[in-house]
Amino acid sequence: MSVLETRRLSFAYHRRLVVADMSITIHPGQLLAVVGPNGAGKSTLLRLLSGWFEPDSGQVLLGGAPVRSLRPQERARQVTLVPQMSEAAHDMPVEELVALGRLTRLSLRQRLLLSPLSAADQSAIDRALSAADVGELAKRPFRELSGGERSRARLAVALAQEARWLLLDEPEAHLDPGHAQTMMACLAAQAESGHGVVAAMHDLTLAAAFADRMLLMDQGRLVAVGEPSQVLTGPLVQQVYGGQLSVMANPDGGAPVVLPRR
Amino acid sequence: MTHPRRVLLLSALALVVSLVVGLWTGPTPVSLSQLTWSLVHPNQSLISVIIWQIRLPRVLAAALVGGSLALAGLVFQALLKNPLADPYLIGTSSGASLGATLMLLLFPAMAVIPVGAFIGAVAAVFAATAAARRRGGTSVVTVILVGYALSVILGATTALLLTLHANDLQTIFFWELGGLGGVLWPQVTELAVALAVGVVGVLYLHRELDAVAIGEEEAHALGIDVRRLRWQLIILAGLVTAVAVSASGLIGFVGLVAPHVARRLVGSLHRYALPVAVLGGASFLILADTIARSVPNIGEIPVGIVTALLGGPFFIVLLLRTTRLEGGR
Repeated sequence: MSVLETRRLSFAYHRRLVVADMSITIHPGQLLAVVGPNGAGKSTLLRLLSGWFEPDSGQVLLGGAPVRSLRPQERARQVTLVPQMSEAAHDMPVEELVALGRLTRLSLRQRLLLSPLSAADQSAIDRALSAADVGELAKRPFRELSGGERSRARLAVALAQEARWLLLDEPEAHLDPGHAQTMMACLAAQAESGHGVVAAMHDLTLAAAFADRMLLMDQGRLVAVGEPSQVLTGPLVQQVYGGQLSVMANPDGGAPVVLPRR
Repeated sequence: MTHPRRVLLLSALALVVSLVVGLWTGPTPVSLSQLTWSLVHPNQSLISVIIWQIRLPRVLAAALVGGSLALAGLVFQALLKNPLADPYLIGTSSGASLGATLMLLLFPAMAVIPVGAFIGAVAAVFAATAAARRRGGTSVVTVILVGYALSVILGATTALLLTLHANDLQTIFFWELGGLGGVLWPQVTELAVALAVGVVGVLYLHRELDAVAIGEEEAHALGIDVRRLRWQLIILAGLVTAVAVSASGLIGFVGLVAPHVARRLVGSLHRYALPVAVLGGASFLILADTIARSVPNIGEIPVGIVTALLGGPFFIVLLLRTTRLEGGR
């Protein structure tokens, strides 16, 4: 089974180390939540994993090969990234947006609009639309969607790619608690079906509830990695986020809960 | 019929109407039946010669130049994620013009003017996109200002070279304001070949263009080699701009107005916006050129004056709207 791993990975931005000497191994079939305060290097780590950023030193290996050495088409079938949502919104209809997930598989005739999408492409698009629960929105322009609908539409694009590894930067941002929960359930289902899912998150309680493993980072360094109950401990959370948070056992017996304090 | 297809059909009809208006208008009055007859049966009559040797090449050149500039504008707007990008405004046309002038002065005997124009155009786009891609992001308006400064510098250099070597103000006037007078069939062929290559190339890349208009990081995640795509698009847009400028000098705002109207009508999906923008740019320039050569008592003014007077206010409105959206940056 191929794994996604980093070896002594470092990346500097304006001479400041944003990811420092990280060595991690991520297995498919799991939902890994990457947490840490603002500026911890979560987004940069995802961009290194996706091959968008070139490491200053160290390596990102996908099934043993450096991710940036793969041909772009091949890479996109292995790994994809849903970046943080930008303010700017375009007017592409959702189904056309999701069809971009099949971009690298188009033939010459399909590119020149001489023949329609293949049945395989069309069914991948339909599966992605329904898995992300945006089938109803297929004809709507992206610009007219609510924040939650936009997040789901962007997830559908990544799902249509059918990549083994799914990286997401703050998938719960802009979502109300109900929609955030639905989003995480969808990601957990993807992990269950064999994908490797890596999500950078801010909501620790939500992350702990759905993640199989958590990775806590601070100032570009790995602080802890393991099951949520091992990573979300009072001392670690206070060390990284400051003293104003407390970690409680979940009254229902599940993952730990992070509570703010005055 | 879906809405975009209807718009596409109407754009094609608008082009046919513009072609007829362009062929019909001129100092020698021609009736519609004479026009049809001489188009179908070319002969040695005066009207047939006027139609075939003067009006038809000129009207077709206007259509092809308009389509080329619209195509380049559409590509730049997606590539720079900048609604104000236009080959004239960001210096591509001036780069082409300087390249063409240098070739003209260095190798006067050789037919390499479009090659020089192409090199100049690509170099100018490269400079403008480099300004747009500084780390940390650059505002939409800054890119336009840098591009405009670039276009002024390149334009001044061209004028300087022409003044020093040719001492021919008429030529400078032509380059700076654009004109379609005296276009011959060989140039029409060049324009047609360049635009065909440009349209097929951009059509081949239409989904990549959709993706990169959303964001370069998203495009990368979808499996696009963003750097390679950028070069492919710069070369295609540079090619059509270079050939258009070689034939007609600097004509502004067609590349701004046509893609905007197209996106307003059919949305930003490039498989619809591309043909509508090209057809619209072609009609727009035919009509602008028809106005330019129908000024009472003067006869003919450079078509660039007409497109600037029509497109300039459009640009100001877009600029104000964009700066308001950007929070006055």
